[in-house]
Amino acid sequence: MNPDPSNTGEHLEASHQAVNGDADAPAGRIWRRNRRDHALASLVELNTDLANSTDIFDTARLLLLALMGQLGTSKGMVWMHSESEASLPVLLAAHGISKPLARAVVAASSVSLWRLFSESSAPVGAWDIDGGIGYATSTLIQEAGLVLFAPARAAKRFVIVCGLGPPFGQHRYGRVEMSVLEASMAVAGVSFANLDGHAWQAESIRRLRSENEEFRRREELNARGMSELANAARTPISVLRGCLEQILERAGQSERAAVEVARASTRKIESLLDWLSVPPDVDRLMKDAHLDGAELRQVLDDFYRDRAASAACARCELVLNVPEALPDIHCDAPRFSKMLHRLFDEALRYTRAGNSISVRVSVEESDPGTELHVAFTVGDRVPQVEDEHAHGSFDLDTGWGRVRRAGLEHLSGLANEFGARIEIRGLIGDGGALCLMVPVEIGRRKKAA
Amino acid sequence: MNKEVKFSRVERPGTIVLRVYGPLDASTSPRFLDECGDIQSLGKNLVINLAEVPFIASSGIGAIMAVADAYHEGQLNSVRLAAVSPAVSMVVDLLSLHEFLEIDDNEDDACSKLKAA
Repeated sequence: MNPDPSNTGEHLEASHQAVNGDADAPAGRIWRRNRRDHALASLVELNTDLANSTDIFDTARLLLLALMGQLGTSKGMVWMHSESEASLPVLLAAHGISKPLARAVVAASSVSLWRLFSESSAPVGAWDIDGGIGYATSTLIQEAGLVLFAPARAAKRFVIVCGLGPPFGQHRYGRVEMSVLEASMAVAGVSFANLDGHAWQAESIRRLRSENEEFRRREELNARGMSELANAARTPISVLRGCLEQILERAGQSERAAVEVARASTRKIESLLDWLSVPPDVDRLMKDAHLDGAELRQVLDDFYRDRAASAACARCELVLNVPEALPDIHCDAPRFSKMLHRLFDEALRYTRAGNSISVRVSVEESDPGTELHVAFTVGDRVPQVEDEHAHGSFDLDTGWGRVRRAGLEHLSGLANEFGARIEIRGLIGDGGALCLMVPVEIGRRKKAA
Repeated sequence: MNKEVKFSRVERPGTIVLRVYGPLDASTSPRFLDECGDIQSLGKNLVINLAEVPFIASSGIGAIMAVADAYHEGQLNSVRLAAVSPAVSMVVDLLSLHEFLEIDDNEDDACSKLKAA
């Protein structure tokens, strides 16, 4: 975008001159120096803040606030371009623009801006997109009050786009602001590319670990099966050997050699069976659920650490809402963790990109006056969508039929093993959810027993 | 730098004064936005007392802009800043935001203007 010639002298300076007189006066020079120092300090702050951020949605919100503060505008939005042509770009943050409108702008303008920013990484004014956007898109951009779009790239890859409203009291940005914006977006591009890469790497490692565990579990099942087979085969082989020994006592010289060979073979088979029946040393996972005290906060922290990256890869936000004080529950920590992961997988499968999945922990009574439960509610949130139009991850109408189709019946059985249960819930205004109810008292009683 | 920020609220007729104690930067701005959003949802005018803000980052200014815009869009209530600290005042001047943000010398003046509006 070419800055407005009438405004290239930095609109803020012009405003300052109007108040304080000639820009060449000492006060004007001091102001210019202070403004430059402020811009530089803002860039340093942004660089530091982005380096400390670990979540793409948080980072986008932070970037947007920083840009609004640096450039003096009250409207802005940030979205992420999707690598896949089949996927829509995802709105990451918006201020001063309603979310539905921001999403509409993203959907309508994304392709045009993608083409523009593939050729140039310079910011572009909304009215400088010559012929690139249609009337409807232009109207949406106007309605959102956006005047400028700036891309962030990293390693020649287009990562995010930021749309900004006008600077206060002006229609266009001056040279200083454009420089600050370009520098900030360059910093942000690297940060977002790193975050994205980190999320994919973390998710790949998690999947690999999960597949390794599954492989080991299958190995254990295989070993256990062989062991059981060996035990089952031992009796008939013993019978066979006994019979051969009886035959051997009465056998003539000519048959004796053949029976000896047969008896030796049964011994070999028995030694093979001994080898097969050695129990696998990792048999512990096949034991019944044990109700040790689970370090619940640790389990939840591990869960968040593992799955925030999964959410980021699906362009969703994982929000963990855990109260400060948690009751002491007793459950089989590995199984509990597995169930939480499965519920989350289910939510992730059906939640559209750009929305958030919440894992909420609360203490509840099933019915008033009854036993206390710790409820782990995994659901999606569809912000800014009217209740009747909100489509949650979990289709409440189909109820348990859906749960069975999703393969959660097995999960429900696992939960029952330690007195827990899975419920389907609607979150008012927030879509749908599955809730894992772990009883506090039952856990204690089982542990005591 | 101590990154802790604290907030206190003082009820005035039709208005809530939010006093901010600590820096407004990337780590504290989300909490500031939550506080202001909460007050706006109560349907009250808002006075933000920034006397005890020793440092404000761009994200802090951005958060104040976002709050001002949210009140402006809502139309039913208003927001004013009061007793801004020198650190905040310098940045507001640099960005010429004093014309966009309504700023008063103290809480009483801000509340009176909101009452008269």
